[in-house]
Amino acid sequence: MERLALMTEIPTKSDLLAACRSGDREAMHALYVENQRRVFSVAMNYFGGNRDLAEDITQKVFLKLLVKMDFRGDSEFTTWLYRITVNACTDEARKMNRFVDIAGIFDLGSFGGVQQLMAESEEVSAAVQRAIAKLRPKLRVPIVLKYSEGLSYQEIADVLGCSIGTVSSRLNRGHQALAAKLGHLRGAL
Amino acid sequence: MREKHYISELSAFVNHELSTSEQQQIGEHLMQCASCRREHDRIKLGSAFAAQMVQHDTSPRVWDKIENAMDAGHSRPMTLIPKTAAFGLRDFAPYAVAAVLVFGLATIAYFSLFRPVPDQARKPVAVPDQPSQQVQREIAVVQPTLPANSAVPNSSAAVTPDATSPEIASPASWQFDILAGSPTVGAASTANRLAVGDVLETDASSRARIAVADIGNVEIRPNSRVKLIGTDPKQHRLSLERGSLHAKIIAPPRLFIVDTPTAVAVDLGCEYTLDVDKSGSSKLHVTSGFVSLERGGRESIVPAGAMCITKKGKGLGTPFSAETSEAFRSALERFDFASGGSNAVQAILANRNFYDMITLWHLLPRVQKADRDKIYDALIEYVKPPNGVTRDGIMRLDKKMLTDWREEVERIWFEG
Repeated sequence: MERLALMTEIPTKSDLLAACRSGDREAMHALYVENQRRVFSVAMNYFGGNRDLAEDITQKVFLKLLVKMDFRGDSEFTTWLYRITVNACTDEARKMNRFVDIAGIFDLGSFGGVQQLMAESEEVSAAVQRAIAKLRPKLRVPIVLKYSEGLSYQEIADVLGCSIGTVSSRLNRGHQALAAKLGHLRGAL
Repeated sequence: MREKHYISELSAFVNHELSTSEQQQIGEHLMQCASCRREHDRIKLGSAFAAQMVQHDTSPRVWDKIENAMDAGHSRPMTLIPKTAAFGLRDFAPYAVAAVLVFGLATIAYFSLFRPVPDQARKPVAVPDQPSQQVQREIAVVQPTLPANSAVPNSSAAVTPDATSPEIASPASWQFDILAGSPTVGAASTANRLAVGDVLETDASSRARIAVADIGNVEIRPNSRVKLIGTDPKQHRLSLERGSLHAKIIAPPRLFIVDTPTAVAVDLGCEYTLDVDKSGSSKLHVTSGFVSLERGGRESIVPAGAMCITKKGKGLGTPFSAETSEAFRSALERFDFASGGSNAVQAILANRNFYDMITLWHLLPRVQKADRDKIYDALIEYVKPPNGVTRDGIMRLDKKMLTDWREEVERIWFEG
C-alpha cells in the first residue's frame, strides 16, 4: 500500500529538478512541458509576435536551464525562470542593436491597407503586440509579465529585482504609452 | 491645504493591487478630481489594450532542437580508436591532428617563400622598377594569364598569379544570391555579380538578395529593376527604377543611398522597405533606425515605425506613423499633395494622436505662420520643448531650436 502511494505520488518541483540534475531526460522533458509556455509567451510578446526569435530564446533558456542547472533555490523556481527569460530577451535585443524590429513586425503591407487591416478584430491584438514591442524594454517587461503571465506587482518586482513602487511607476508609463499609441482603436475593444 | 492626487497609484488601482482602504480612498478621489479621472481613463484604456495579450505554445520542433543541442554538447567526441590502458591513443589523437596541421602549414610556408623558380623567370624579376619590353615579354612567358603588353607596376605583382585570377572579383561589383525564380543581370541570367552600371531585374516570380559590400544586404522583390550606380568605401549607391526592395544596413550614416525617380533615400543606419510604383511615386517604410528622404533641398527624416510618400510631380511628403488613423493620413495627403492648406492642417490637428508627433514636427517649417502656431500648441501636448527652445524661436524657424526639439521628439517617439 505504501509502495503504491509512493508510485502514484506526483513528483514535487524539487524532485523534478533533482532528476534533471542527474541527467534524466524524461524529467527534463516534463520540466520543459510544464514551463515552455511561460518562456515562449514572454519572448513572443517581448518581440512583437516574432515566432522564430521567440523559439530561439526558448531554446537558449532551456539549454541554460537543463545543461547548467544553476538554479540555487534562492527564489521561487518560476521567478528565476522568468528572470533568465527576461535577461535572454534583453540580451538578444541588445545584440540586434538599435531598435527591435525584427524583420516583418512592422510590415503593414501595401499602400493604403493599414486601416482596413486594423478593422479586423484579430488585427487589434496584432497592433497591440506591435505597440508593446515598440515600448522601451524598461516599460515593456512589466507589461508583458503582468498581462501575458498574470504576475502580481510583487512577483514582477521579484523577477526584476526592484521595488513595487518601481513596477507601479513603469506600468503607469507603459499604460499611458499604449493608450496614446492605440487610442484610435478604442472602438475595437 | 493642497489636494493630494493619486496619478502614480492609478495603475495599481486599475489592476486592484492596493488594499481595500486605498482602493476606496482613490475611488472617492476620482469622483471629484477631473484631472486624476482623465489620467485614470487613459491608464484604464492602456490596460485594456495590454489585456489583449495572449499566451503562446511552442512548436514540437523546439524540444527536438533542445535535445539535439544537449546531445551534441554532452557526448564525448567520437573516435575510431578505442581507448586502451596500454596506449591511451584517444588522448593522443588531438596531438596527432595538431601535428598534421603544423606540418601542413610549414609546407605551405616553405613553398610560398622558397619555391624553386625557373632560371628563365629569375632574370626579369630582378630587373629595375621600369621593365623593358623584353622583360615584360619574359614575364608573360612565366605568367600566361597576363596579357603580353600589360603594364606591370612592380616585380612582386608580376609574379603573383592571384593578382589577375578570375576568381577574385572586382571590388566594384556586388555578389547576389537568387532567392526565387530567375533574376537577370543584363543578358547574363546566370551571373551572380552585379557590377557598377549593371541592371538587375526580377519578374513576378523572382527575388534576389544583394550583399552590399560588407555593410548589409538588400532584398530585391518581384517585378523590380535596380541599377548599381557606384560602390566605393565612401558611398554605395543603387537606383530603384521600379518595384520594391528591403534593405538591412549596418553602417555609418549616409554610406548607403538609394535613388528613386522622385527622391533619394539616404541610410542613417537602419532597415527599411522602399517601393516605387509604375508612375515613379515611392513609399518608404522604416522598420529600424532612421532614413533621410531627400528631394530638391527638402528633407524628411523618417524613424522606425514611420512611413513617407513621394509623388511624381508633387514632391516629398511628410513622414507619418505607420499606425496613424485613416482620417489623419488622408488629411496629411491633402496637405502634401492636393494643396490642402489651412483646411488640411485643421483636419490633421483634429485627428492627431500621440505618435503623430513626428508629423507635427515636420509640419512646422512647411505650414503658414498662422498654422505653425497651432502645430506648436499641438506638439507641446506630446513633447515638451527642451531648455532653450522657445515659441518665438520656433515661429521664426530657428534651425538649432528645431533640431533640438526634433531630437527630443525622436527620443520620446522611441521610448514611448
